[in-house]
Amino acid sequence: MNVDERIERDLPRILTEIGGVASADYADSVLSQTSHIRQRPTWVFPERWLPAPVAEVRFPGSPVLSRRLIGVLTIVLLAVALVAAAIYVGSHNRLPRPFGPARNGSITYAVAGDIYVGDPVSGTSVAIVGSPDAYDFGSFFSPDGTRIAFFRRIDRDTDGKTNIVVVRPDGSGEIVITMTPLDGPPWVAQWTPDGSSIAIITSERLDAKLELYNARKAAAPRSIDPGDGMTVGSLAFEPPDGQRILFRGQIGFKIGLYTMNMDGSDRQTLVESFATEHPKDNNLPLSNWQDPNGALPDIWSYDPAALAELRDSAWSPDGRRVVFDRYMTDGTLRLFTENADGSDLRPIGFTPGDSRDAHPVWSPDGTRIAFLRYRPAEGAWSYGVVRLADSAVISTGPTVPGGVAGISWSPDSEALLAIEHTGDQRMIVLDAAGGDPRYPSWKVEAPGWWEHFSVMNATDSGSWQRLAGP
Amino acid sequence: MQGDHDAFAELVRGAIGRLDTAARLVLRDPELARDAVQEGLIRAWRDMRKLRDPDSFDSWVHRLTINACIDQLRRRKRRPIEIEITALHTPSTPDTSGRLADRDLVDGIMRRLDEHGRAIVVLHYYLGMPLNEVGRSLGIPTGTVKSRLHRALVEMRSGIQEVEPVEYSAALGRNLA
Repeated sequence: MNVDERIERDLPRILTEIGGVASADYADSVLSQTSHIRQRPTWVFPERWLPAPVAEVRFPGSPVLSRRLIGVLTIVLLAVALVAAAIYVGSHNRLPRPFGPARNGSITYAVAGDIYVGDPVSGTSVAIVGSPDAYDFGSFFSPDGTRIAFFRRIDRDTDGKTNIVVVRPDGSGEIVITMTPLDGPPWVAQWTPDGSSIAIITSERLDAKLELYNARKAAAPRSIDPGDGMTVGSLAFEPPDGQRILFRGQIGFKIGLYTMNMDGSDRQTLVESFATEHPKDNNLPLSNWQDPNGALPDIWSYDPAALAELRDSAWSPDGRRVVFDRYMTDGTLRLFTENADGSDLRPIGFTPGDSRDAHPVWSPDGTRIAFLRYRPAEGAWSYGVVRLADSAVISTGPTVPGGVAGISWSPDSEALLAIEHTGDQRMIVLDAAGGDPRYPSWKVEAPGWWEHFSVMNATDSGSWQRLAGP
Repeated sequence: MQGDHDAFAELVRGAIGRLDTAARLVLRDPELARDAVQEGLIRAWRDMRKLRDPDSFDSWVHRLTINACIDQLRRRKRRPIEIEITALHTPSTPDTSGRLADRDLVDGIMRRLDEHGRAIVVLHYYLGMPLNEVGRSLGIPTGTVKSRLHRALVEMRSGIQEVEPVEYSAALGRNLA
């Protein structure tokens, strides 16, 4: 027997030895969860059906309508149309502005491939979209609260080709806006402030593209190129109209913070580019590191500590300042704000000790910035809120050893929404002033990209619906 | 409903050991592995009535679990702080037979592979899935599966051949002819 044959014969045993053995109470934990979950009925799976003939039914005879009756019906229909138009115009004037405080609405989230909308006050929720043949995830509200966008895998069981879908908050009016499916879930996805488009960054790789998709119909996307071979790695629309964006740009190993127009023109520098760390994986020099298939390396295959910098940059709601994170020479990650022209740089939320502050999110009323703090010695995340008037830092909510998928502000700036990376992946509503947290009774899924909906968007139009004020 | 769940429970208890090991091999983190297995089994329960052939439960749930593992890895990539991934196996008794060298070699190679590479090795060699099914499960061409598997085996072979033949045969409990 040669070496190859021995390897193939022994690999199963060796892999078993490496992998270890499951704990005894593991199955009970899973079964206790599934016992409370309803199975999909057989009839929702088309492959289990036998197609039934569709018979055309015709009703014999139809009443003859007199001219007088036709006239009356026409007048009635016109009256109904006028009333409907008046209602529409009235409701249209009651939509919230894309930036700044708004009234709290519902929360959208995904679990087990279905999209839900829930009331954070009553704790009730309802599934609004559920396709038996596809896996739906990553739902987020438009800034005006009238639509929900989410992602749908073409093959339910395989993480691959993905479409972008838009529906109303009740699940009706479904539109697939991608003419050609995405290769996979996008790295970043956000509604434009006017709700006309959805901007995505296609991946976390250096060949990623920034694209705009029409949010009302299927159409080819428009690419936005900052020029000079720069890759866009984050996205935040500038208040009040989103005509410019704040983004982290990368060329090779140099990253910086920039703004540009939505057509890619007039790029301005807020943070001068600086070199990132070398690839951390197995300490190979960059020239030796490449994907076996010859593809470009992932951004996050490099030292993630260095490349976390500038990733979570955001605008203040008035568009005058920005917030971002940078590494210090002592290895801590700190938050900074500065003016939109790059002046008046200030550290915020600084406390002595070994910690890393990340995911800054500006409150809709502009008075506070929420963030996540990680202490390596404790191995756990905690939630913090810094009050900009006096730099006071409030801790709120529990520590989260498993990590957090991301945080976002409630539209009224009173609460924070987070999804924890614990086994239950609980959704938590935190009191921004430090009071007791509240857990809705929903089991949710936290796709990693959810955090980007939440944290790289000054409008916080991630998963919490914004409504016009009373 | 309860009868269905009892039957499902029996399938779960029979499969969960292998699923957990497979997830650990891909994710290299016991807690993430547990989350991925839970996710895969919950999906399996919800869509159980989609399964036309009960005998294909194992391969189906393997596929669901491995894809849940890949989902977990995608989420982890997006965190600003990487949690250091340590070697999975920690032998509690001294190993003088040389088997530790085999485990070290394979463990080291698995660490260097990306998530798809680990998933391919685990699906084929640990879970016994044919290569074309591995490709379908991961959404990649069978040719790509074969080439990546070949590269992993080349690494293992070159690592094993550096060891004295006598030591290796002792580790496997055989004598060279």
